[in-house]
Amino acid sequence: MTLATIVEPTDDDHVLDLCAKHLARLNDNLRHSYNGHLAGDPRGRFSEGWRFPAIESDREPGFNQVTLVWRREMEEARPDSVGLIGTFRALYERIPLREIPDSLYWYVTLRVPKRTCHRYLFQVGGAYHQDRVNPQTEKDGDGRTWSRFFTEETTRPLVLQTHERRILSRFVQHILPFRTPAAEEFLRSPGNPLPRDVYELDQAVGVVNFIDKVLAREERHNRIDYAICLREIEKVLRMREPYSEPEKVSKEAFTRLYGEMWGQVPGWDRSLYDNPSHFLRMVRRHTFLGAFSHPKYGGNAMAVGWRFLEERFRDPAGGTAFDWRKAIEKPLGTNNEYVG
Amino acid sequence: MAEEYDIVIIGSGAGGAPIASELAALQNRSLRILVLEKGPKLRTQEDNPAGGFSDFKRDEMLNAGPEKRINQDGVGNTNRPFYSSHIEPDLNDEPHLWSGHDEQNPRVTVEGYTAQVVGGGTQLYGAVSLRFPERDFMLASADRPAGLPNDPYADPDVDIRDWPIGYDDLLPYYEKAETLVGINGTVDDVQTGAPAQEKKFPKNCYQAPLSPNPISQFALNGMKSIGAQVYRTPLAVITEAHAPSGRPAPGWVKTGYVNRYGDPLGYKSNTWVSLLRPAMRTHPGRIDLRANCTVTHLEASGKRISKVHYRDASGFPKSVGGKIVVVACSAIESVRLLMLSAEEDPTGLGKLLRHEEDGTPLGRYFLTHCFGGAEVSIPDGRRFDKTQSLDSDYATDWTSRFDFLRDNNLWAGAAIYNNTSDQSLPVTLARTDGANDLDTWWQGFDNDPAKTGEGMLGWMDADFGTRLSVSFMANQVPWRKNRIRLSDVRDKWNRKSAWIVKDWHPHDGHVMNTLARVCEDILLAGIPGTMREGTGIPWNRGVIGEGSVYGQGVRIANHILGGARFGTDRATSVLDPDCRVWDIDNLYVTDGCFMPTSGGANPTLTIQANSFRVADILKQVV
Repeated sequence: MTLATIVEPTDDDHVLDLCAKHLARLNDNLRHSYNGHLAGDPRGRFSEGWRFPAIESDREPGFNQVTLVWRREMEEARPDSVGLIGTFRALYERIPLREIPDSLYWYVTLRVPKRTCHRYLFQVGGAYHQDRVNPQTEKDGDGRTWSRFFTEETTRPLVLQTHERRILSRFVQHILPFRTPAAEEFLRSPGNPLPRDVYELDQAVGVVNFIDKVLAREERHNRIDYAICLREIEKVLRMREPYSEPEKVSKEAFTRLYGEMWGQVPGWDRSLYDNPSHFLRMVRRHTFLGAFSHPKYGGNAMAVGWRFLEERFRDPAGGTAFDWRKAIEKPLGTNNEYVG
Repeated sequence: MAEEYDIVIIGSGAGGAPIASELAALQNRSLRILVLEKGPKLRTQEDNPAGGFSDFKRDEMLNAGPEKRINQDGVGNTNRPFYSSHIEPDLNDEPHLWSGHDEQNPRVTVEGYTAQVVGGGTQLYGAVSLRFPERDFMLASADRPAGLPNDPYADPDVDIRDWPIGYDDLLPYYEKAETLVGINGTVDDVQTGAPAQEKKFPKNCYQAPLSPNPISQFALNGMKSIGAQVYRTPLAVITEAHAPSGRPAPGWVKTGYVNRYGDPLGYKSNTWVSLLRPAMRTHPGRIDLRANCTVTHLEASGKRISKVHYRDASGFPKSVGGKIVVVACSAIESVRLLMLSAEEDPTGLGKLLRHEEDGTPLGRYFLTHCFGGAEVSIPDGRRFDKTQSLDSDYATDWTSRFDFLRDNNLWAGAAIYNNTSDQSLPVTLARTDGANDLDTWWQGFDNDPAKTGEGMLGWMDADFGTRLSVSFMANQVPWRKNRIRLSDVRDKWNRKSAWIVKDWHPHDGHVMNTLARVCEDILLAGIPGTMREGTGIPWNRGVIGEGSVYGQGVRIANHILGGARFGTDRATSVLDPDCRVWDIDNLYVTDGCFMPTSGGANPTLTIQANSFRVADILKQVV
């Protein structure tokens, strides 16, 4: 495994630019408590704490720059030093953080491989602390809670369990147009633009991964909806086809359930979740977003969603009506100026 | 002792940056200029030579992908979702409230193009940079049609005022703004070469426009069919090398990632790349730009502002002094800052601002724009790569002509232009499907069960690369009841938030209905085979939808103006004709809040031109 390296700290102003909007405040009201989950936790005060640590582009292909920030409270004594340990380096190796003069912030920027997920703790005054801003946490094998981050293109499941991912995969397949004859024709067409290592045109794996990541970070507040509703869906499907695993029920049974979720679902416990259509709308949004947003977010694997649109939609001259490559950075796109 | 500057400018956008750049370039003087900006300084690729990466991205997920939730107690839309760009204000940390005139059930809101970043709203805007028509500076005294529906001139609560300056006063500053900012477009009609803009244009300061997107031809045809003169829409995006800002010729600028995106390459002419950065490079040391600094209040001593109090990037309180103080932090925030300052010092600054007086004009006559249009999917199967576009190709001032106003019983006119890059990207297509404004994102897509599998493919077949819209931007009636006040909802610094009390004057509805119909007529005439909505045919390709944006959800408006209008009468205006606050010797306000009427076009160029005008005034007094 490639270990993270420390990026030379040369730009305090850039770190302030990352921090001030979301971290500078006097008001202690809850701003993002994840449905009460962080009530009483200082992390609930930050409205977009999921932006931390900051994951940014790096000039080394295959890496991200990750800026980890320790913010002391305004009334808190200034610590002599702040350090960091994490799975991106040997755990015994304390990485010192740099203090931005006349500020509340300490930071270090690391060059971390893409597609990785890490645990970390800050060391302040001899004691170890979770990140005071980032709401992502993870337990280790001994039950200790660490803070967590993941870099771009990470595929390791983080919040959705195996059975949840399987059910979700059915939703994705049902919503997206990649199981249609048109898509299959695209797949079989001569000069198929898909890379050889992409598994058919099925976006399910990529989009489910995208949803897993968005629920781990930006939309963590929606995780509970997935937990309840996917459980209810499993229950309903088991009742209807008791001899089949829920993710393998017939297409007809799944289609029927999908239709019912816009209104009444027989067998659905409305005391647990009153409005199945709300969940369905959320899944639809996440599915589309995952299939057609930048591949670095975990969906749209190898840009197959964009490639499908590029191939299908043609302008009057026969060229593509979605030449996404011209605007996007290399090597994914062909733009010579924009580096991503 | 506080640091002292010759001039302290609050806000780095269209209202503030022109003044900073002009005063930094002052010959034979070396002024100390401080620019305080609430947001960060996000880098273009050029600004970050070490890695070459920009903090702006061509990335729909970063731009407005994740759902966020409003989490404010005591508001009508708490726990509702919203989607905003990473450079817009955080609605939970820095909310604005909005209610109707009954002041009941206020909701958290954000304006469409308010950005907290160095460069302000010009980092986010679609860059449509039109001058206002000459008539729009004198809507009180100019001839007007008789028998206006819900006549605003007869409404005692409406106060339509001429600007204390006219088009001719602003003309040299329009030319300066167009030259220094970097704008492409044409003055003349695209077919006949005759003058096409409904205002005097003695000098063409535009760069050459790019080739239009072929889909815009339908809009051009339609505009021509109704007899309009049509010019290429002025857009603040450079297409050639731009000597004033030192920006090289772009390699390839056509992209859908313009409107509502920050530009990683700096081709979009925001005030950072076009004005502030060049000034700081050419005159090093004269401008001190402090990002991430929130001004909390102003302190007065006698009839002067003696201190500007702000919180730095950590939140530590700081203060500075300036011989001149310029407030330019967008209309609502500027009014709010004045009100908060008055509350801090009710017997001093509060009295000077007449904050507590019943008749105070501060916060009154808040304006947005009457906005709307028509859209359609091209019916004959043709589609176009709309990502290869800037935000608009063709514009007309046809509806600003007096004969049009007379024939349609309108008090004031509008610019009309086609939108080229809207719905050009896949996520944007879904996010804005069926939306009538930025506040209804995802609802059309999410709520349509038919958009699934084959149904989704059918929808994309119909809409991807085929959507064409034509929009209008018209004056809103200045109504005393439309106002900005302070609320008890607190921002992240425990300060009172701004509360916008606003509704539409009955004549505004007539304006919007009339102009939306014109936009529909343009599409009907320009695209064979299209038909009006409501003809009994289900929504499909070729059926034109038209409507107006009344602002009913999260976002109150695209443009915010008025609230501290300038004028010649201190009883009815907040600012004198120089944009100086009446009775305060060294306080100027230069964002859009100075406007007594909102103009029939996008306002940024006029804000910039006025700031260049005020800069000339300040050169005499600083």
